[in-house]
Formats: sequence, C-alpha cells, structure tokens
Amino acid sequence: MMDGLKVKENVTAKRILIVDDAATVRMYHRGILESAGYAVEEAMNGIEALEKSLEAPFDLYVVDVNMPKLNGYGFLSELRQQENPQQPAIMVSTEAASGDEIAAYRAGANSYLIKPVQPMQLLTHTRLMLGEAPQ
Amino acid sequence: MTALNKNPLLEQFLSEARELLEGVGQKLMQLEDAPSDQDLINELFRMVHTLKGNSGLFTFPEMTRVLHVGEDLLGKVRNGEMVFSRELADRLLDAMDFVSLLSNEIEATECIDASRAADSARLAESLRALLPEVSVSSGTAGSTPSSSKSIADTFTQLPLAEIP
Repeated sequence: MMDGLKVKENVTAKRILIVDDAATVRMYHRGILESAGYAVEEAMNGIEALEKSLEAPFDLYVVDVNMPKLNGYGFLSELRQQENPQQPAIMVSTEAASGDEIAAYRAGANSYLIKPVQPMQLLTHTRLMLGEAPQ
Repeated sequence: MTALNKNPLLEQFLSEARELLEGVGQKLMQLEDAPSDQDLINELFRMVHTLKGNSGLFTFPEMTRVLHVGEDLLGKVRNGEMVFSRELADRLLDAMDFVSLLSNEIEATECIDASRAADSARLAESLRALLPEVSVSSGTAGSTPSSSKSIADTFTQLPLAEIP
C-alpha cells in the first residue's frame, strides 16, 4: 500500500535538475526543493547535466554559473539548441554585476538569482517557472 | 542560517571545505612552478570561489570575508590584471590556514569564536593591500565606486542613446 503510494508520488512529481559543482550547494538546493515535493536530480558540471537532460528532459533546471568542464552559460546554450520543447531554467550566480545577469538571459536562462538564495525565493521562482501558483 | 547539532548540511560543508582547502594548497604550490598556467589559475579561482559560496550559506562572516578577498585576488590574476607572485601565494596560503583553523573550530564547537573577527578583518585587509591600486581605492569589500552617487546623478549618466 505504502509502496504503491510512493510510486504514484514519484511519477507525478515535477523533475528538477540541480547543476552545481559545489556539493554543499547541491545539498542545500535539493533540501529546499524536496521539501516542496519535487523530484530532484543532480549534475556536477555542464557536461553531466547535458547528458542527463538529453536522456530524459527535466521540468526545470537550476544552474550554477562557474563550473569545470562546461559552465552554466555553455550548458544552457547547448541545451537550448538540442532540446525540444524548451524547459525553464533558473540561473543561480554569486555575481551581483548586471552584466552576468544579462549574459545568463542571453545564454537561455528564464530567471536569475544571486547566492545565497533564500529558501522561499528559490521555491517562489521554481513555482513561477513551472506555472504553478505561488504559495 | 545557524548551525544546528549534527546538521547534515554543515557536515557536508566541512567535508567539502577540507577537500577544497587541500586542493587550493596543492594548486598554489603547482603555480609557484608554473605561474602563468591559465588552467591552474582557473581551477584555483574556482576552488576559492566555491569555498566562499559555500561559507555564504551559513553565518560565518569571518570566513567569508577572507575568502572573498582571496577570490578577488585570484580573479585579478585570472583576468591578467595581476601577476601571480611568491608573495601572493604565501599570503593566500596564510588565508587558507586561517580558513582551515575556522573550519576546525566550527567542527568542534559548531560556531566561530568571537575573537576571530579581529583576526579576520586584519587578514582581509592585508590581502586587500595586494590588490592593484584601483581596487584598493574603492574602499571596503562589497561597496562599489558608484554607491555614493545619488540616483539622480546615475540617471543623468545613463547611456540612454546607446540602448537600441
């Protein structure tokens, strides 16, 4: 009975991919998103994120900027060329400079947040991006 | 966010911090032999940047402050605005020793002793003194040269004609 319920929950939960090279940040963002019932997966860099997302597209991407191998801009640019339809992405940066925000949107981000992100801030942007009512 | 007893996020932070501090130490030593290796500089910058970002998830301003200046310095080196020197390497190693000390303190007591604030400020100041002149004159970390301008001043200076 319980197992049946759990499976159903997992099937219906929106899938979110957290892309960040910092394990601590991934755990922090995961905790926030899972507490709201989302199904979360992680990638450590843009290459890994691209592989996972092309295998099975996610409903939302939460993407760091500065990462080894392929950074956040590179990942989003590449993803936007390959995915169909396009899924929303929140770019999470430590840079407060306006140039970085513009670069994020140019690369394909739909939203831009500055670290450290407050839990309600991440959840509100997540719901907005997924077309859900804010709570 | 305050440190709670056996907070898994805090444990993750300390474990990643240890790993990054070790990596930073190694990269700094490698850079002394190859001071113009751009890949090494990028990697080093990223490690300090990650460490700073992680510390920002908690209330550890003594740690974040020092890492922030370290990141600024490595950013300048990365962008070719500053040369990687032996002195810079030594100062950064001092900074990482301090961060390591704070990490040990957090692990033992789950907070940073109040007496560390002065040490942190002093260390950050000595690191900031290594920044090229232009950056030093911009004042304390976090402020920008334009912060003292009024909104009206900024408005008259907007390059509106350049907006397509």
